Amino acid sequence: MNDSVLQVDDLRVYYWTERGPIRAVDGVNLTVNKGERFGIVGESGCGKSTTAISLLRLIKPPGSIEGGRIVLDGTDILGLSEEEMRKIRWSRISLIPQGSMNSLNPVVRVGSQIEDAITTHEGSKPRGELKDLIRDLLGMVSLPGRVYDMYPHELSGGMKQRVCIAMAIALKPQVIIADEPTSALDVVVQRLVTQMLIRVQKDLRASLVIIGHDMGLQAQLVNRLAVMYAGKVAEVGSVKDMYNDPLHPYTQLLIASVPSVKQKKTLKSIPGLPPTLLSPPPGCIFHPRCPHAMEICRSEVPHLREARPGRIVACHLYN
Amino acid sequence: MENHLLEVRNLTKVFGGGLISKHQTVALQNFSLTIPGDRAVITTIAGESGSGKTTLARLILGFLTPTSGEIIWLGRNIRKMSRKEHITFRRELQAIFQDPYGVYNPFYRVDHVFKTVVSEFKLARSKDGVRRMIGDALEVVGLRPEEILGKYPHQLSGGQRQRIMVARSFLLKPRLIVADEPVSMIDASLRAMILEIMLKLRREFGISFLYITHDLSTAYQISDRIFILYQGSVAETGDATKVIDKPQHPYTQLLIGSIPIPDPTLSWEENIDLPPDEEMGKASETGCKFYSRCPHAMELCRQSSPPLYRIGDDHYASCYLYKDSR
Repeated sequence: MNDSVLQVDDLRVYYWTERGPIRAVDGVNLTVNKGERFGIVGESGCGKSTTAISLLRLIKPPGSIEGGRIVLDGTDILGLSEEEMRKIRWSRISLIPQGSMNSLNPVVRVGSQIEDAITTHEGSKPRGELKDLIRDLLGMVSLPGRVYDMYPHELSGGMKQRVCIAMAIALKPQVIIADEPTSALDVVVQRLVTQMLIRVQKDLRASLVIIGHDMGLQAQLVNRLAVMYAGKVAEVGSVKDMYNDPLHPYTQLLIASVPSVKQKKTLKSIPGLPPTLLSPPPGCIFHPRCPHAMEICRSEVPHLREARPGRIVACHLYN
Repeated sequence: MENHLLEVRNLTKVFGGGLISKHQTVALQNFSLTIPGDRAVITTIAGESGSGKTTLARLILGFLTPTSGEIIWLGRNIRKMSRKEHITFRRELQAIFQDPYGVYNPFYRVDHVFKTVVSEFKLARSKDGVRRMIGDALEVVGLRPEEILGKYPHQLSGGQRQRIMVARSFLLKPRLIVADEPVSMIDASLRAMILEIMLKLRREFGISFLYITHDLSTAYQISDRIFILYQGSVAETGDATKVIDKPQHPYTQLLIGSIPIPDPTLSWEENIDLPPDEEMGKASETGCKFYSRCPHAMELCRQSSPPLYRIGDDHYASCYLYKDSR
């Protein structure tokens, strides 16, 4: 579709260990459209953070991108030189990494850190212009101007996270990737920061990719959602479809396990454990835990297919 | 007077204010609660960071000494217990914590966590007796001994490790388990198992729980009673379903209204703002702690801190909006 700004095809990222490769991301396909908020949800070890880091080609050894294509608005990311990639990072695609608010340099003032983020990727600018730009950025994330001269420890968790968001939007990228942007924050602050992320995304007319494990938050935040399991994409669809009528058995179980203050229900959990990614089971990677597993699931890997308009699933139930 | 299991009376904890630092933080102020002795109850202490809930847990478990107030276990003040009474207390009050990895010594197999308990409290006489006790405890939490014993912590999932911790508490047949964020570090699809175990221990073994959490969604599913803490004081308390279905204190309303509902058709209502000073932790010194964020703030609220008013059957809120209800 011409509307797409980010296209990921068959992405494979493995972590090499003495015992062989850990297939952290094993054939991921995603499409993010212009101006949309796209969520990637999954539990620990599903490969969502690895996917996020790969999009900026920030995977370090022992991890490596083993295959696939990443196309950012017509540019083949994996085909660029390191120098070209450095120019793209932050200016066309940026990342708010997981736990970034705790990674702010404690001995450098906030203003200088944002400056560094800008000048590293865009070269130096006149002092005055830079300061104005940063004050504007702070305003965009609803932080008072005096934060410029403050140290990270003087700020609350929510404020630090907004500094990280300011850094990620400094060069007005087309795609902003946020990995668990509100995980460590209180409920009320989480709502604040989430609302602000939406506002910023709309102002910039950028696309936002939110990686998370909180199904409640994803329901409030994104337009479309991809569910990942053990290094693969299980299902993609609009949030409404996914919550009303989940197709993949894993999605169904995941949604059934999420408690809500709106209704009391028997809590369900998924029996068993996610597979080892060193030697994943044959066929569908979810089949050992799937209540609908059939014979074919044990031997053949299901591929992502459009089961119904706008509903993409990797499951033999829909082939 | 019927014997309460646990009675907390006017508990206050102040940090700082010593020789070096003049700055004092009142982490918990004048907090009281009772847990009945005649039936098993799950009581939730809910709040965000800075609410005082962790401080309360630590005070009850005896990790901190109160600045003032008392903690009374089965009629005895815990700071005035004899050695024998104290050992019984330590057995009857157990705890499970947030991090299912940090509590284990990675050099030992997981069996070790049981061995220390068994030997400290002399729970069984023979090796067979010990093995049977541990096996029973593991089965109660839905684990198969042959899949768990002999393994190292890193070979098990967070959910399994947490269940082992519950089994370990269960070995001592406690009367109350303090569970401090027991599921927040566990994947969503595995949380239900731990919560179900808590319900099962209450139902089948009469064990009460003090569930400390910031997550009202899970609290809603399992709690009988709830205390909503804000900056060291109780904002609202009572029957858990009533408080969460129909919150009356403006803070509770804000808190519950901010929970992201896993249903895209039910969204947050209007956008909210946070005044910067409040964000940086400088709430007002006198008066209601919620004053600077409260949409219904009145002059009276600025002058003094409201007491808990009874606003319904088993439902209380500390807010001047209700000062005429009794």
